[in-house]
Amino acid sequence: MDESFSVLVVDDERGMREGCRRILERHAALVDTAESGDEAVAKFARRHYDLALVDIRMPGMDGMETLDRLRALDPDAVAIMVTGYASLQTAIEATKRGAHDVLPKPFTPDQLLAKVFSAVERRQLTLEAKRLREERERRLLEIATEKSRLRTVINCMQDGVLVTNRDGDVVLSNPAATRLLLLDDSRLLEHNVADAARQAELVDMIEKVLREGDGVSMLAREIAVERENRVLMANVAPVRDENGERLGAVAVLRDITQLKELDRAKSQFVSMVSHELRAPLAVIEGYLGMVLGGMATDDPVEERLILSRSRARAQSLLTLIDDLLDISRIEAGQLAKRVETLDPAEICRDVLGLLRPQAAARGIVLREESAGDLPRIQADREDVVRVLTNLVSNAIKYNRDEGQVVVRSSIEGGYLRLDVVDTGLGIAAEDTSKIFDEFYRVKRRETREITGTGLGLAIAKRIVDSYNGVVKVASELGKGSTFSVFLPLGDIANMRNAIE
Amino acid sequence: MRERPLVLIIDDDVDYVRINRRLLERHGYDVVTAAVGFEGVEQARDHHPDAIILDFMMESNTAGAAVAQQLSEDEKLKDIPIILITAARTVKPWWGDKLSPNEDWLPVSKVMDKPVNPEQLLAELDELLHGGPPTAS
Repeated sequence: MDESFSVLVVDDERGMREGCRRILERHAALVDTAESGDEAVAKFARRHYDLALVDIRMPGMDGMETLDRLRALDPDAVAIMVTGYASLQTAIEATKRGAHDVLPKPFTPDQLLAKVFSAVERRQLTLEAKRLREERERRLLEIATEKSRLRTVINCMQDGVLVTNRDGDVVLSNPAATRLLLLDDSRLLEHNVADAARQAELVDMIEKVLREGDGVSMLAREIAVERENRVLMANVAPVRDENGERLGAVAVLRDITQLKELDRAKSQFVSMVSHELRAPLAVIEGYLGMVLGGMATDDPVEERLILSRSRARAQSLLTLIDDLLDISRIEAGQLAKRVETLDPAEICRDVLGLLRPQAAARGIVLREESAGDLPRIQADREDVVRVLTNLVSNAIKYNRDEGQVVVRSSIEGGYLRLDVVDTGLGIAAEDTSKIFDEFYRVKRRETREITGTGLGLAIAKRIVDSYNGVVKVASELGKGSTFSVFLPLGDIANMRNAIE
Repeated sequence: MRERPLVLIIDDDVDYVRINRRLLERHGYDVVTAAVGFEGVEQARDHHPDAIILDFMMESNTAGAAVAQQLSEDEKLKDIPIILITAARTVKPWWGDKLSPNEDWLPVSKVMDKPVNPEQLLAELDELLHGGPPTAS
């Protein structure tokens, strides 16, 4: 034996015990002895031995019972029963009880060694088999854990995953795939993808990958889901084993509807900006052409009108560019707010003061009304001035001559409420939902001479939104409009409550 | 035909209307104007102009097309040549062929890009009014 092994010799005769010890120790065995079944069981309970040599006939606990007890302690225990009364009957009985072999007394050292070596070999094979069995079980458990972990990950993904075998049968899918492709769950697993999925383009991609797998690394295509007006980005790739053999195809699906929508909105915005930039330039160019072409010079009044209109359009172009820059800054959240404590009444007075000449030119009266003593608000002064200026300036522009504009401030809920009330043209119901959109301008016979960028309300709304406020409009055609801004009072209001 | 041909300009840009009105008046045309689509159709019915210069993006992004369609459906007005002037072709390249004269969607005689060169506009008008068939009234 190459390796050392442990043996417990159980015999009530000291001579037997020591004789066996001598023989076995010469062959690299670690030998221990017990003079009774009880002692053997006690020793076995402390540690395992590769082999037990057990005398069948012993006072007290006999060999057979000892064998049972030892095997109860270690089911893999290998035992050789030693007997002076060897009979077929005894051998059968011992083997039934799990003994490895029977050694009849008297025996020669060679006979002992032959039996012992065979038994130790058996013991080692048993242990090796046990180790392999345990390892296999552990591996299987790991795989199961890994599978369930993978399953959870795939199921939690927002992207749809669909895996087919090489025949195109769906072998794995996640809830996102079911949702994105509007699939019927019951028709999914074990069904061919061509039957399960209604999206012909996706089926084509998967079939192409399955057919031409060797040449295809990955296909990517946008596919439309008609019923929900969604656009998906589908990536389909072959699944291969470690030898590069094709096992099937995997499709990953991402909902890009919102991205497409965003892209479209961006293009639309850019095109609207281009249009709005071109229009005044075209006019200025046209007017300049008139002047240079001598078409207007015979009438000084006409020429003056042309020049002043050109200037007005140039100014509106500048305003437009400023407004556009503001919008992009607000959008990017770059407009750092210098928040301070402000007196809304004072801001109202300032804004109205600035716009009074413009109003007076058309006989429009600007008035300020406030409901008692208003609390201060926390905001960037520029923001509040901008919102109020845009609203009041609209109220003047879209007013009738000799009309009036009232700015009314009050407290409502936890908000400062600013109403800008005019006596102007009013806004048709179908326009009220659109007037806060960029570049939306109400176009009616009465509004044709009114210049503007179509961004004033859009900017006001974005600023108010940035304070978690609300801006809304109520209007009656021919009578006038009321724009109401609600700015949250926030901490200041709470402080006041605490003091009161 | 009148002694001085009458042109209807439909455009929501009051300055652009003024520029074209002066241009045409100086070159022997009379001009009536409208700032929104429906007003343009009314003006066409009232004045039966010899030609119409039509803007595309007015009260809606495709108001010009709607006006052209309404005019083409009116027996008395359908033969009046229309020049559509728009910046949409340059700022919205993806519109592509949608902004070419089209019997159903855009029944106009000619599409020109804004800003339009005055000489070209005059030449086009002249051709539509005096160049004979197929579109002159």
